[in-house]
Amino acid sequence: MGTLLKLNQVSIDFNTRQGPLRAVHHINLEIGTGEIVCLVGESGSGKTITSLSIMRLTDYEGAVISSGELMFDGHNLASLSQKEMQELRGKRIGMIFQNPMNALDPLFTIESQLVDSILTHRRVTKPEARKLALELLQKVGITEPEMRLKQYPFELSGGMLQRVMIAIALSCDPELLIADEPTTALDVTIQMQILQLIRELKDTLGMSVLLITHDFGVAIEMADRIAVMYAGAIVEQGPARKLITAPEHPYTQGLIRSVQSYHSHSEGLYTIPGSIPPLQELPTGCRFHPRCAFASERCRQEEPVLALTREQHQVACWNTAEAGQAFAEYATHKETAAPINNLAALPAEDDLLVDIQQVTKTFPLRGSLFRRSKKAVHAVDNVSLRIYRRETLGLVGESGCGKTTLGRLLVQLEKPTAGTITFDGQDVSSLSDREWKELRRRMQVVFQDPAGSMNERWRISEVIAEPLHVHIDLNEQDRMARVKETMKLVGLNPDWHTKYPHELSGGQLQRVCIARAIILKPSFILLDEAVSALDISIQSQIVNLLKDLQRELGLTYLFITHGLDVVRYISDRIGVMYLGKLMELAPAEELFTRPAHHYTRALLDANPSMDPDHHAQSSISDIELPSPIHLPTGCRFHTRCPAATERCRTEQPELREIRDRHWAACHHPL
Amino acid sequence: MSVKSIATPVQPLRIKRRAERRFRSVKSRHVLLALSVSVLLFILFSAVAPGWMASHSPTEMSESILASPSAGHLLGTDQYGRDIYSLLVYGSRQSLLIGVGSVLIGGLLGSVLGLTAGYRGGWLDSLIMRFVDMMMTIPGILFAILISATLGPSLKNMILAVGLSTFPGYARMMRSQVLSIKSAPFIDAASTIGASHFMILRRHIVPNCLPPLIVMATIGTGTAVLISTGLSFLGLGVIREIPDWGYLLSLGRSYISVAWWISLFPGIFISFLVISINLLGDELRNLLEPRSRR
Amino acid sequence: MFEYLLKRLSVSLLVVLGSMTIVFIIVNVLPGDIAQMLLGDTISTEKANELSSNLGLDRPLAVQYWDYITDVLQGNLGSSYVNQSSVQHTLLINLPSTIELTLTSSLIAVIVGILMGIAAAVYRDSWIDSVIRIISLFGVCTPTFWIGLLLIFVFSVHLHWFPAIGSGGLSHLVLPSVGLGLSGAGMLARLVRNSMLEVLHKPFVRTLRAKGIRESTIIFKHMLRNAVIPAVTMAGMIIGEMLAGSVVTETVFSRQGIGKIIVDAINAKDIPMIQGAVLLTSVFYILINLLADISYMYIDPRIRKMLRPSTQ
Repeated sequence: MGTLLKLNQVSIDFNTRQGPLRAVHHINLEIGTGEIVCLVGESGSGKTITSLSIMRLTDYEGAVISSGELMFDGHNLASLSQKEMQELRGKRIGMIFQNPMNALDPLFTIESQLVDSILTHRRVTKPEARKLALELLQKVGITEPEMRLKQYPFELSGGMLQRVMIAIALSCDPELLIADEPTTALDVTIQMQILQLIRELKDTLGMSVLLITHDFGVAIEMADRIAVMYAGAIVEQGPARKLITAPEHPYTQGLIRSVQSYHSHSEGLYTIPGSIPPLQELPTGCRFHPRCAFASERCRQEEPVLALTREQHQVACWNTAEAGQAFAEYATHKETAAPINNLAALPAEDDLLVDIQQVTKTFPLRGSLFRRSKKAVHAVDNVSLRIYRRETLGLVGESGCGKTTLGRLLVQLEKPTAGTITFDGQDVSSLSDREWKELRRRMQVVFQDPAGSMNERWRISEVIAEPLHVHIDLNEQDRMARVKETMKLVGLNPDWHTKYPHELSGGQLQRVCIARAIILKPSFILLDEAVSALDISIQSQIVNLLKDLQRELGLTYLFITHGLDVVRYISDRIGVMYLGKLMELAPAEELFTRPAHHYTRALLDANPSMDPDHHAQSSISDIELPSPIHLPTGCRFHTRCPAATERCRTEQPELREIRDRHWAACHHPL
Repeated sequence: MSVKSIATPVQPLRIKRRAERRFRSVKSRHVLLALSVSVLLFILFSAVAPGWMASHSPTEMSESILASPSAGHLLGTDQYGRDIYSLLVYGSRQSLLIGVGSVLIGGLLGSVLGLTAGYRGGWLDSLIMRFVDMMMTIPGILFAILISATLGPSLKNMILAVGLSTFPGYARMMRSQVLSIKSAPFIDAASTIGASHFMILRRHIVPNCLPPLIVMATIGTGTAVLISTGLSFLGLGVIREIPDWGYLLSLGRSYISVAWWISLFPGIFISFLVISINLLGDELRNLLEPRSRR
Repeated sequence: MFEYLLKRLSVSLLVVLGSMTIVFIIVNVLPGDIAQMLLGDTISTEKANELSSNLGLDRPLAVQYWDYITDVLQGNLGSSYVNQSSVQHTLLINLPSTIELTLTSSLIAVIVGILMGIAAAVYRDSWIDSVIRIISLFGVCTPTFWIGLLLIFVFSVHLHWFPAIGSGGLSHLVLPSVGLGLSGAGMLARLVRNSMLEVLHKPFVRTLRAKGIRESTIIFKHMLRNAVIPAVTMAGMIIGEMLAGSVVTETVFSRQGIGKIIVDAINAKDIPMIQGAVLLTSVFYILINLLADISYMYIDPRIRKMLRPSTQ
């Protein structure tokens, strides 16, 4: 296997007003012919800018390759002119990006964007290019390709657009495909299809792939080799399987342990303390040492370089021996850990807190002046759900399934079209303004985007104290005392109360939001994708915090997310939604080990796992999610279900208890 | 393993230079800002204490008629022998009064309407915005002409005319601002906390709407000066002993071939005032809305 | 599509009706006795009342309004207070000259404005950008009548290239169009520059580069088309401003046209004439904006699709 691309001591600087800012520091990376290499890292690790530097697209992002060479097939890409690079781009190196929804020019048809790409690099006539475009769409598995060619990007779904992006990237049979988080913006079932497609195409075309991802699961799923980046440097790289089973860098170990601890039943997730340092404030010596359990004096002083520790495996760490041993101990211990009997540990179902009965929410579409539109988006359709005191009810589903709307209905950010919602015995729709305000004290919300959910012009103390202002008449001193006490409770330094939101990191901001939610000592908190936007090392810290708070304050959670691992860990029971319907409801472990609904099964199958021997797969057909405006008849899932029968097409299944506390809406449960 | 870092001279020179230029343009921005602040201060002083700033009495008619700029008459004299510089100094008060006064009227009326429309929504929103749309269909200067022509010439009417002709812009801006803030998650957060509408408006929406409003009002002052000088130029201005800038310009028009200075300097005063206001507005935008693009 | 046109047209008609109402309100409801103003303060009240009844100003407002609306809809804009001539007739005679000026100055504004905007965005932070930004700042901040005077001073008084005043052939059109067009060009240049810079950071531009498309193709084919969308509405408004600005410019250059009529009418306190001229101008303004809206559809497929009756 020859080497196709070799990054040799590459450094990349951002030009800022304060001078150059080092984003990537002396990295070495090799990609062999026909190999898939995954670059894994959290936000700010420099993985994306590295991928852009290979195409020299960094030049357009205000960044500069300040040293090192990028050897591609005998050329040093760092020293080519933009004109010479243009010849390579799209022809020998193809690239696809994170969000396919805005990666294509909205004003041109799919065909014109494909044909442009072909005509730029190949000597073919326009009709030939059109024919090639059609073939390409077929090759990437797009249904009805003739029609799609004539459509505009906004008419296609995210999954389809990513296929189009792949088709464009492959239009000239490149030797290297760079995929920058290609599935992060997509639903998990679609993600699996796209990943499978990339792997298949790689095999048939014999190209190499550089896959950038933050998700270890995706990396394990795809990679021949994995490189882990932290704060602008590669800390460890090597063959995928060995890297996962026997990581040697404490950061890699920490990440893998946090991800794996979601599947254990231990009290508390494994976490890496601290947070990712911003590029301006990188520590001296090893950039990971402030968060590292093995840090020694040497780590503080001297920066470790990548060194070969075993075959093809490089680590940048001074203490690999101790770290390796510690991980080995953990690994053996892990295998002996016994799973908890989950059913017995469930909270008793006698203390009802929230009762959602047959709730429906439709959003009418605006019609034209002359015709009233009868069409509507059926966001939530006849859903009944009970939440018991002190439990965590998880709600999962892909985008458009109605989980967020259901949550918003519950806290009355939206009014239901039909049905009743009872909170602690009170029908919330019948409350007077004053009663409702009283009730607000007992139900709080934490949203996905912590920065967006606070007024950026306010100090942290003002943000946290807002509920006090609304509900309790306190003097300034008492209020400050409450704020500081709450800040301590959520693990924030109370001295930070004078800071502004932009001075804190994402994880810290989410702690602020949690502080604001608990300061009135509520009984119920809606967590709407509350940890989804956070990096894995931060996410586990927040999940642990939520668990601790629940225990200490006797909280009840409705935890809405698309992340299957998190929901499994944090929830007592889990509901699965699909196109506005509740498809299945079961205790967490029961749901994950014995799913009854085919949709749940498909979700679980598509979820990339940390187990290198177990491959995620797509067990449903490649058909896209139907639109919530034109819903399928019968069972909503029948268009994609592998077990669909005639009955499923015509008769809508009711939610029924098929096992102890296990409900499913399926005619043919598993 | 350790490869010496070969500092291959990559070709990002162009970009490096661009960064330097950006740095330089930061410096030149400060120079521009200082200049515009001095222009504004000069005009402000002229408006407050014209007696101090002027070299002659504005009504004094000297022997030298239509004299070109000289040491005696810095910017020359007009057809009555009045000192142009002094006339301009004495005219500043009116320009500033109209600029600020009409922005107060237009800005206040517009933002109250926009705020109400955006936050209330529903039929009230439709009603207000249709009204604003209709006002928008009559171009500003014509609207002002129509109002001044019917109300008759006076300072008060001029302010009213310019103010009324500019309020739709404020209403639209405020409404879209309110709508975008209203959809932000922190408003959802505030309402789940139980904050009342009044509280949300007072503590979240209004403070977040103010910065763009301040910027728009600043730049709007310049626009108002332009419209009002245009009205004076057409003969719709306030008729006083001392001509205002626009009227002076229209007088100068007849003498353009023999005394260019009568038309040139009022124009320079107007342009410099408006440009300074604009630059100040841009600077305020950078200061108050750091995230908006330059 | 057809349905949309119909809808837009009916909305425009409503808006025209609305602006007629506003004009009526300003003229008739705002305080200010027209008869008194016409005759001056020295005239007795009886005289004024007599004139009022002659002009029909003493009838109930609702009646006046109804008559006014029905008259206007029949194409009758009333007659001048000054010489009893028909307002619409006077306006129609002078309209072509104003349209001519508006068209040429708009053409200058759009072409120069867009080109300057592109150049400033492409060479951002360079001297080209600085020069263009200064020019457009001047264009926006300088009174058009003053620019007109400067042009006259330089190009007619000194260089004798173009005639200073009057209407006539092309040579008479040059200075007024340039003077008027410059302010519009300044506004457009700023807008195009901003929206080009915004488009520059859109992810699809990165995709195009990754495809190996030539930079000039990216700029002129893709970025410009995306950047022009917000500029189209603005262009509609700017052309409207040109129309309104022609009032002042015509005065500067002593050109025949609606503007001159308005100024004469102002001096003669000829309210029906002013009213008619303002109304005519705003109808044109509405028309221009309608055209801008329609041209949207040709640029943006998303809007086209929204309008197409759903086929799926």
